[in-house]
Amino acid sequence: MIEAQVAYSKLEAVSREMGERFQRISRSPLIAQDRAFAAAVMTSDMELAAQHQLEAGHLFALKESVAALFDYFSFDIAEGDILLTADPYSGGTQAQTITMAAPLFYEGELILFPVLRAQMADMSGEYPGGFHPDAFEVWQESVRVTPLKLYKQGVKQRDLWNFLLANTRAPSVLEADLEAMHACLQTAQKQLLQLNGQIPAEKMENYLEEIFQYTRQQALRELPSELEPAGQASVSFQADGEPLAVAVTIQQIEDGLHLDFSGTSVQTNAPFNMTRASAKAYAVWPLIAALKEEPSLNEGLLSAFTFTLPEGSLVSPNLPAATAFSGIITGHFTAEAVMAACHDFEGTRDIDPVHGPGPQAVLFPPIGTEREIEPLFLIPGYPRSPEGMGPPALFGGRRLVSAEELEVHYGFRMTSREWKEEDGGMAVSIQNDGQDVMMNILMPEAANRYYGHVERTMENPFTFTRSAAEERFGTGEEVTFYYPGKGGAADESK
Amino acid sequence: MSQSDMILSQVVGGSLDAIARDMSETVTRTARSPLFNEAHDFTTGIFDLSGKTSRLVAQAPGCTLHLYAIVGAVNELIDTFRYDLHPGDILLVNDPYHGGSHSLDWTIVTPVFYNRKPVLFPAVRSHMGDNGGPVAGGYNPNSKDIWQDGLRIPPLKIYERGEKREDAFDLIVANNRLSHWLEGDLNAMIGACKMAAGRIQDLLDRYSGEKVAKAIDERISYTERRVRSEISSWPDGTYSAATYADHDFQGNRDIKIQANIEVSGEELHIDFTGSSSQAEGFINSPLSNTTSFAFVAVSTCCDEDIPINEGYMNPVTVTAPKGTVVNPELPAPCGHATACSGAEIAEAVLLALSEPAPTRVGVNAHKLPLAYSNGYYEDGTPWVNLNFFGYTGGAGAAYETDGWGLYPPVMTGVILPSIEMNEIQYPSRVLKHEYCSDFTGAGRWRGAPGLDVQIQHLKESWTSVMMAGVRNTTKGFCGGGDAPSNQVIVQDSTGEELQVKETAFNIHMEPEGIIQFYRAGGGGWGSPMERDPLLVQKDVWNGYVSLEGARRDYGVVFDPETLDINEDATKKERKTRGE
Repeated sequence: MIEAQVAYSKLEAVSREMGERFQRISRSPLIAQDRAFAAAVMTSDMELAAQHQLEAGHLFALKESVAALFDYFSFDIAEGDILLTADPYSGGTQAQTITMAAPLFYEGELILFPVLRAQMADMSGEYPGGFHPDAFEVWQESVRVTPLKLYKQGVKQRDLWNFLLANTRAPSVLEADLEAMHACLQTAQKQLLQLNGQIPAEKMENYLEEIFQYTRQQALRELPSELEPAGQASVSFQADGEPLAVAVTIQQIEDGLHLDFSGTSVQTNAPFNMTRASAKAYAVWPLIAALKEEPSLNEGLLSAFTFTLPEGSLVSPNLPAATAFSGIITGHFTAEAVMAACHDFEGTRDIDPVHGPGPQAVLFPPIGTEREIEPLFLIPGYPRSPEGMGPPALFGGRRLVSAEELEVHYGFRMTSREWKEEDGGMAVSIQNDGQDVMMNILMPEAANRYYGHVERTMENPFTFTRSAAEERFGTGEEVTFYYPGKGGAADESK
Repeated sequence: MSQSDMILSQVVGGSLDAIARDMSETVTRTARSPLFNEAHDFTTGIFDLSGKTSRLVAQAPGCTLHLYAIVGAVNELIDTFRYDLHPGDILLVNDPYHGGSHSLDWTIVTPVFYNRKPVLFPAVRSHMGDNGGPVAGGYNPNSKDIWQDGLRIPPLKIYERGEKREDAFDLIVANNRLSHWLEGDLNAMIGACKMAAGRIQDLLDRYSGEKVAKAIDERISYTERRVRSEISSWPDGTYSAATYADHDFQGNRDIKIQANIEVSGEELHIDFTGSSSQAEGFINSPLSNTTSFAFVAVSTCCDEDIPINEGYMNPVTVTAPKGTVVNPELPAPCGHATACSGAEIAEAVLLALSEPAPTRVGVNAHKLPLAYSNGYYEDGTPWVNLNFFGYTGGAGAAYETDGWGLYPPVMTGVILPSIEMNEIQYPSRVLKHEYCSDFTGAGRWRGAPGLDVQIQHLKESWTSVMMAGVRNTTKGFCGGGDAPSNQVIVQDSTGEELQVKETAFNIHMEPEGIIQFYRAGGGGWGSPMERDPLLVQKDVWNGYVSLEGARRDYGVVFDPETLDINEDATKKERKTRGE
C-alpha cells in the first residue's frame, strides 16, 4: 500500500504540475486567473487515474469527453495524435470548453496518458464568450467541436487548426491556449514515460486498482448511509420566468449511492440544460465536499456513484438543447437539491451547502466593431457562504477580480466592493471609464428567492433581475452587482 | 490555328461543358435538399491551373450569381493546398473571407492529375439549407459580425488521398441543423466531383494533357475575343452611376453603391470607389461576390452564345476600396450579400453601362422581398423553407424584349421548384401564385409582371423577413420606369397582419399562418410612351395592365367595353404627355 501511495503521488504530481504549468503559460484570464480548467491522467481502459481541478464541472466531463474521443477514433489512434473535442453532446458540458487528450504509447501499447480540459475565451456563437441568455439551440451558443484529430502522428492538421481559429472572435488567445495545452500535454507525456520506466505498466495497474479501491472505501465510509427511506428533494428555479425543477432521490445501494433525477423538469428552450456529465458533477460535488479528508479525484471516487438521468430532461437533454448556463446556474440548484435530499437522512451528519449562484456578466465591445476581441468574464463579487466569509465552494478556484486589473486592462474603475450591513450580502460597483461596451448578464432566478440583481445607473438606469443579452454599459455609467448573504441556500425574499 | 486544332478545341470544350452539365445532373438527382433537387441553387464548373492561379474553363448553366464567387473560392482552395494536393483529395470552403460570397454558399473541388501534376479541377458551389450559427436557414437580419452569420469554413480537406476524413466531415455536419440533408448534399457534391474527375481523366488519357491544355487555351481565347469585340463596340470613356440599398437591417439607410466604368478600347475597368463604408448589417459584399455580380451585369450585355470561362474575365478588371460595402474587412457580416447588396452592384454596373451600351443593358431585378420560415416536422426534425415562390420573379426588360418568366439573369439556372414537390417536402401550401396588374416597371419594353403570392405554413413556424426594393426600387433603363415597391405581410400568432417595412425577426406564426408576398416586377426599358399600343392592348387582355394603368403609364386609351384601342384619344393622350 505504501508503494502504491508513493507511485500514485507521483501520478498526481504529474497531473497537478500539468495544471500549474498550464495556468502559468496560458494567455487567457479564464485559465491564468480563474483556473477554469482541469488536468488529468487517464488509464488505457479510460479510467480516471488522477485529476487536478478547481471547478466542479470538469469532474465527469473530462473522463466522458475522453471516452467520446476514443469511441470516435477507436482503432485509429497512433503515437503523436492529439485528440480534441468541445461539444456538450460528445461528453462535454458547454461548447466553449475544450478537452484535449494526448494518447501515449509504450512499445505499441496505450499506457497512462495526459488530458487537459479548459474553458476558452470565445468559440463564436451569437455572443462573445458563449453565454447567450436567450439561446435555445447549441449552435447559438458556440461552434460544436466534435472529436477531431488536431495532430496526426505528430503532424499538425493545419486546416483543422485554422478552422478553430476562424470560428472565434479571439483567435490570438485561442491559439495561444491551444498551443499551451499542447505543450503541457507533451511535457506530461515525457513525465509519464519516465514514470513508466520507473514503474512498469502492469505494476502501476495494480497500484491504481489498490488506490481506486481505497478512495472508493474512503468515500463510502463517510457518505450518507442507513438511508431508509431514500432521501428526496426538489429545488425550483426559473428560466426567464419559466418554472423549472431539479428533483433527486438518493438511495444507498449495495455498494455506493444512487442518485435518481426522475421528476426533474423536461429540457427547456433556454440555456439551463445540463449535459449528463455536468449533472453528475454538480450532483456529487456537495457529497465530495462533505468528506472529512479531501479525496483523490479518480475512478474509485467516481465509481461510488450511480445515476438515473431521464433522457430529454433538464439533466440529460437531447440535441440541440442549449447548455451554457448549466454550470453557473443549474449546477448550483442541482447541488442544492442533493444537499436537501441528504438532510432527509436521519442519523447522517449534515451536508454543508456548496451552492450559491449570483449575478455575473460577460463584457465585450459592441459586436462587429473590432476584428479581434477578448471578452471579460466578470464575477466581481459572490454570495457569502453560510459557513464563513468566503464564496460558496462551487465558486471553484476563481480569483475575485482585482480592482487594479479591471482598471489597468479594461478601463473599469471599481468604486466600491463592500459587505452590506442589512443582509450580509456584497455589493460591487464598477464605473466604465473607457469605451462603451456591451454586456450579457447572467442571473439566477427563482420564485420567492433572491439571488442578487444588477443595477445600471446614470444615462440608462435599469435594474436587472433576469438574464439579459447585449445590454449597453456606456462610458461614465456605473453598474452595481448585488449578492445576497448566506448564498443561494437562503430562502429570504426581496 | 489549323482546322484540326479548331475542331479539337471544340471537341474538348464541348466535352468539358458536357462534364460540367453531367455534374449538374448528378447533383440534382442525388442531393437531398430541395434547394438542390428542386430549386437547383448551385453551379458546377471545371477549372485549370495557369501558373499560380486557377482559371474557369467550363461552367454548366447554374446559379449565375456564383459565376465569379466560385472562381474566388477555388483559387483560395488551390492556393491553400498548393503543395499538399494529392489524387483523391476533396477540398471544401465556405468562408466569405476566403474567396466566398455568403457563408451559406459552399464550394467543393477535387484535383485531377496528369503526369503527376494537378491540371484540372471540377468544382461545385451550392447554397446549403443551413449553416449553424444563431438562426435556422442562415439569414440572420440581426447579424453584426461574420460569426452571427453562421459557421466559417476556411479551406478544409474533407477527403485525403481518396479517404474520407471522418472527423473533419462530421465536424461540419455537427454544426448544421439540417444534418439529415447536409450529409446527403455534401455527398452529392462530392459524387459529382468524383464523377467529373473520372471523365476528365478519360479525356486527358484520350487526347493527352498537352492537347487538352492547348484546346482549353484556344477556347478561353475565343471567349476573350468575343467579349473584347463586344467591349470595343462601346465608345471609350468613363461612365458612372450610383444606386442604393434601402437599408442594412441595422437601421442605417440608403447604402450607396457607386460604379465607375472605364471603357478603353477592348478593355473594361470597373471601379467601385465612392461606395459606402462597410455596413453594420449583413449586406456587405466580399470582393468575390462584388466581382461576381459585376460580371453578371457585363455578361448580360454580351451575346448569350459566348462560352462562359476565364476569357470573359480577362478583358475586365474590378477594383473596390477595402473597408467598403463592396469589399469589407473582417469581421463585417456578409450573410445577405448574394441578394443585397449584390442586386445593387449589378444594377449600378448596368446603369453605368446604359450610357455606352444602351441597347445591351436591361433584365435588371434582384431586389428580393426575402422571407424564410422554419419549424419542426412531426418527429422533431427541423425544416427550413426559403419560400422561393414568394420572391422568384421580377425580371426587367431589355432592348426589344419585355421582362420574361420568373427569375432574372442573376438566378439563371435556378428553377422555380414544383409546387407539388414543395408541398410534399414541407408542411406548406402555396395558396396563390399569380401575376398581378400594373405591378412592374413600365417602358417601351416592360418588366415581367409582378406577383401576388400567398404561402401558408400548416404547422407552427417562425418567419424572418428581409425587405429590399421598397424605397429604392429596381431601376428601369433608358427612360423605362422603375419597378414598384415590394411588400410582405405576415400573419402573426395573434392573427394580426404585420406589413414588414424593413425587417422582422422570427415572427411566431400559428399553424395555417399565411405570408402574403407582393413581389414587384422588373424595371422597364425605354419610354413607355413609345410602347406599341398593340402590345399594351395584349397586356390589358392578359390582365398585366389595367385600363387605368394603360392610360396612366402608357398613354393608351381603350374602349372599356370592347377593349379596342381608341386611337384618337391615345394620340392625344401621348401628345399631351410629350411623346
